[in-house]
Amino acid sequence: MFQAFGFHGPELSPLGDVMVDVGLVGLAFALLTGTSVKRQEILTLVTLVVATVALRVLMQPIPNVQPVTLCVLLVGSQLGARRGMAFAVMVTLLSNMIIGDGWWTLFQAAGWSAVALLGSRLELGSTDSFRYGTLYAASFGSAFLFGAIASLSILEPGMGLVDFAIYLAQGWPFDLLHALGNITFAAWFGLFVFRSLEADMSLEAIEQSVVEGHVTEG
Amino acid sequence: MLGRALLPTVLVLLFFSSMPFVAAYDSTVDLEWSADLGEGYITTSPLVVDESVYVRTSGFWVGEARPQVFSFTLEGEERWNRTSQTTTQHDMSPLNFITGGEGPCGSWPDMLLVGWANGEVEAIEPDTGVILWNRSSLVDAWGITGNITVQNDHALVPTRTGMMGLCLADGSVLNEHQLGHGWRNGGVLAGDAYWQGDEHGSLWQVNLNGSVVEHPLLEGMIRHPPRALSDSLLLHVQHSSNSSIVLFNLSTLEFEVILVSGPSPGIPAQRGDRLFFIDGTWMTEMQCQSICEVIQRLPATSNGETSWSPNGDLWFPRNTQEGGWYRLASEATELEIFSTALDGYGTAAPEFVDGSKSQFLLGNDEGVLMMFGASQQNLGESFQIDWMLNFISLVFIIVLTSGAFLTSRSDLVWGWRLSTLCFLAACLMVTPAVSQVWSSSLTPETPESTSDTWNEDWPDTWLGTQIVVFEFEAGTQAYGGFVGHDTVLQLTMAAVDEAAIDIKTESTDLGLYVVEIDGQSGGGWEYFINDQRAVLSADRQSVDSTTVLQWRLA
Repeated sequence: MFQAFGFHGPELSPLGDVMVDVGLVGLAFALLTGTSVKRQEILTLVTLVVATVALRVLMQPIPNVQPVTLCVLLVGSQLGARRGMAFAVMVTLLSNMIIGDGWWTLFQAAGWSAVALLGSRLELGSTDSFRYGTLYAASFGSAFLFGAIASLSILEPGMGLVDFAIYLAQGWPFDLLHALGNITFAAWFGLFVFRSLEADMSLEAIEQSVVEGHVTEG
Repeated sequence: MLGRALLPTVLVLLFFSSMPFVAAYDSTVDLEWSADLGEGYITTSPLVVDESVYVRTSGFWVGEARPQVFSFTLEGEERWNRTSQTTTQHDMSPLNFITGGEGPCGSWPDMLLVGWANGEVEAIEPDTGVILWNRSSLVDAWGITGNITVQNDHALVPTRTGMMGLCLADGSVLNEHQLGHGWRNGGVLAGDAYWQGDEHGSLWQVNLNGSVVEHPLLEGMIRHPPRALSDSLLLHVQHSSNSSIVLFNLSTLEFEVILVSGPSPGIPAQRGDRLFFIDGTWMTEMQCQSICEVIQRLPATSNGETSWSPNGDLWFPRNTQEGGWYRLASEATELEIFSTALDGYGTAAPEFVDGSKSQFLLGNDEGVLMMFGASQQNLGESFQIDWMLNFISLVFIIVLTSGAFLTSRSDLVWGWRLSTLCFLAACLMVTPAVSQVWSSSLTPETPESTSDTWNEDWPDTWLGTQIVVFEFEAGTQAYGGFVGHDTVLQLTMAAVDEAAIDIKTESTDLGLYVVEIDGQSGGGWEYFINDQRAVLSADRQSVDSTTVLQWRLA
C-alpha cells in the first residue's frame, strides 16, 4: 500500500489512494446512516460541504487560514458529533481531491473530526444569546488540536518522540495563524453559520420530542 | 464640522507618511555586460582598480575546470586569466591590489596579491597576469582562505596554521608564526599587534617583537578579520546553531559577549563607531562608543561579505535560493533587495566603480560576473513609489479607522470584526519571518561526527571536511572534501554540482525540502547528519565543518 515515506508521511500507491478514499466515504456514509437524517438536513449539509470545500480551495494560497475548522466546529455543535464528523470527513476528502490527496488526508479528516467532537460538547446558546466567548475559545483551541492530529501523518519508523515534538513545535507559528484565522471567521461568520444550522436543529428537536413522546408515553 | 474635515485629513496624512519609497534600481540601473566565468562560484567581491576589473572563481571542480583569476576592462573585455592547476577547493581569500612602493626589504611594482587554497601566495602583474613571485605555505585540507593584510612593505598572510609576513618586493618570508587552524579568518592591526582568530575560538596576538599570545574563548569559530575600535576588538563568533557578538577589551584582555545572534555569521562591516553584523537570521547595527548599543536588527540571511557604495549605503548578498543583494541606505530602517536575472545563493559583496556612471559589479554562486550602471541618475538619487505597498497601507488605514469609528459609535461587533481582519492580515505578513526565527531557535545541536560514520574506502584528504553521501537505488555515491558550507542545503548543492546531477526542491511553510535527486524521487529524500535523523528542512539545518551528510531515498 505504501510506496515510500515522504515529508508529508508515506506516499500512497494509486491503490492505496483509492482505499483511503473509499474508506473515508464509507465512514461518512456510516456516520450519516447511523442516525435519522431528514432530507432538509441532507440538503443543508451538502450545501455546506460544497461551500466549505470551495472556500478551502479558494483560500489555499493563504498559509494555514482554514475556514473548514470553524464550519466543522459549528456543524458539530448544532447537528451533533456524528453529523459533524461526517461533514468533516466529506469536506476533507473532497477538498483534498482538488488540492492534493494522500496519506495525510486520513489524519486531516481525523483532526477535523476531533474538532467536530469538541464542537458537539459546546454550549453556544441561541441566536439571541450567542456565546461568542465560548466560540472564540474553542476556535483557538481547535487550531492546535487539528495541528497536532494532522501532524501525526509525519510519524514513521525511527522517528523519536523528541523529533516529533520538534517538528510539532516548528509548526506553532502557523498553528497560531490558524487559530487567529478561526477567530476572524468566528467574528465574521460565526453567528451566520450558527443561525443557518439552527433551523435544522429546531426541526430535529421537534421530531425528537415527538418520537420520544410516542416511545415514552405511547 | 471640524471633526468631519479632520478625519479625511488625518487619513491622507497617514497615507502619505506611510508611503514607503524605494530606490528605483530596476528603472534606472541597467545591466551593461556580463561574463560567464565557467564552473565554480564567485565567492569574493570583484575588485576594480583604475580601468581594470579583477575577479576570482572558487568552489568545486568539474571536469577540467579549475579556479581562476580574471582581469577584464570596464567594458567587459577579458584581458587575461590565471588558472591554478593545483589549488584545492574554496578559493575565497579576497583579491588585494598593492600599489608599487619601496621599503626596507626592497621595492615592488603594482601587483595583484592572490592567496590560494593550495597554500600559495602569488604576486601577479596586474596588466599582463604574469607571475612576479610566489610563496607556499602549509596545507591541511586547505591553505589560505582569509584576508591578506598589508603593513608597510609586508604582506601579512593568514595561512592554514598561522600567519606569515612576506616581503612585497620578492615574497621572501620575513616572519612566520604557528597559530590556530584558520578558515576565512584574516587579521587586523590594532595597538602594537596583529590580531587573528582561529577555528577553535582563540584570538591570537602577534606582537611586533615577534612574541605570540593566545587569548582563548570558551567556544566558537572566528571566521573574519576582527574589527578594531580604539580600545577594543569586535568579533562575530560562530557556534553550531547560533553566533555571538563578542567584544575583546585591548586593555584588560578580556572577552565580553554583547549579543547572541543567528547562525553562520558573515564578515562584519564597519564605518567609524558603527558596526554591522550579518548572519543567517539578522542584520544587526551597533554603535560602539564607551559601550556597544544595538541600533537596529533587521531580518536578513547573509553569510559572506559586505561593502559600501560611494553614497554610503551598505550592500550585502542574500544567501538564499531567492538571492539578490540587500541594500541598507544610510540611516534607513528597512532593507531593500536588488535583484538580477541570475539571483541565487551568494556570498560576494558588490564592488562599486568610482566615477560618474555609478557602475557596480555583482557575482554570486552562478559564476557570472555582471556589470550594472545607472543610466539616468546616480544611485540613491532616483526613487519610485511602490504602489502595491501603498495600496496595502491605505487599505489597512481605512479598515482600522473604520473599526475605530464604528467602535466609537458603540458598534462593537463591526469594530471587533475589522480589528480581527487587520490583525490576521498583519500576522500573515510577519509569520514567515517569525517562523524562520522560531525554527532557528529550535534547531537542535548538530550531531557530532564519529568514527562509525567514516568509510575506510574514502580518501584521507576527506578527513576533517564535509562529506555528502547519496544512497541511490543503484548504489551509494560519496563526495567529500567540502569546506565552509553552513547548511545542509548549501552542502548538498555543492555535492550536486560536483556530481553534475540535477536536484529538485519544494518550498513549504516549514522550509525547503528536496524531492528529487538525479531524477530519482521515490517518496522524497530524507537526510541524516552523522547517521542521525534530522528534523529541520534542509535550508534550516546547520552543519559543522566535519560532517557526514547522508541523503536516503524515502
